[in-house]
Amino acid sequence: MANYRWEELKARHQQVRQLLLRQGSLKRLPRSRPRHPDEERLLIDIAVRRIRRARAEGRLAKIDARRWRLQFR
Amino acid sequence: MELDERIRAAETELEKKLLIVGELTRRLESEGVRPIIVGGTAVEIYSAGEYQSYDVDLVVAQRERAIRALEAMGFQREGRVWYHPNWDAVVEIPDIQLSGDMARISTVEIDGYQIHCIGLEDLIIDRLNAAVHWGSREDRRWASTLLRAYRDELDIEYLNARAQQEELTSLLDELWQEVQADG
Repeated sequence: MANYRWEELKARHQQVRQLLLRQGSLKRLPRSRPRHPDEERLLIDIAVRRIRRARAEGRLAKIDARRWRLQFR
Repeated sequence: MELDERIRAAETELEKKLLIVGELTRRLESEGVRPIIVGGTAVEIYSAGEYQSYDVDLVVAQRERAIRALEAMGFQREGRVWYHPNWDAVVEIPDIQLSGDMARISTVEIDGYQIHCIGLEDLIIDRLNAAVHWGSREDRRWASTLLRAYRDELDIEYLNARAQQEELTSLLDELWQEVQADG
């Protein structure tokens, strides 16, 4: 079994990112295989629920018409 | 805590990116320049981190000043983007003009910083455009997610007017019908 050290993997990740950057391909590509409509609906529902939870818990708070507060801790 | 320490202590990529934009905004606003977050990072903000993107896209009217500030912070040019080797962060300035209404941009407070982000309605239009012109189902999904999550807070009149201008009315109507059908 291969053993990897976290520092090495992290450095490799940075190298890969830099290579992708130079190729101008870091941006997400459009997904080529469409999701099943049920899966898509489920993903939307989950994301909406998580956004609502973040707002209910005050992690994302609207404090004025065009003013927000985002808290990470 | 120094910025470098705060960025290294950030628990998520979004937190790290917003601290960087916060510092950039602080430096530029003292010169009367306002960077505005657009694209995927804006979706990350309005979804409280549920969406994930790699780089930060900024609209800055005075691009050259922004580049100077980025370089002063340690960013290096890599093709058309700026990369920070110590923070492993990528910033791009794809435009100098906001595709949307400057009066509708949001200000977001984060950890002592203030950053600016494209308005929610204009962001939905941006995702709808990507869905139509790139055939991107992911962008359609995120337009739908934002419509559902913020349905009672959106300026529907403005959203409809912009959709009409950009010939996106049919997709927007389709998404509203789905939202209503799902309750």
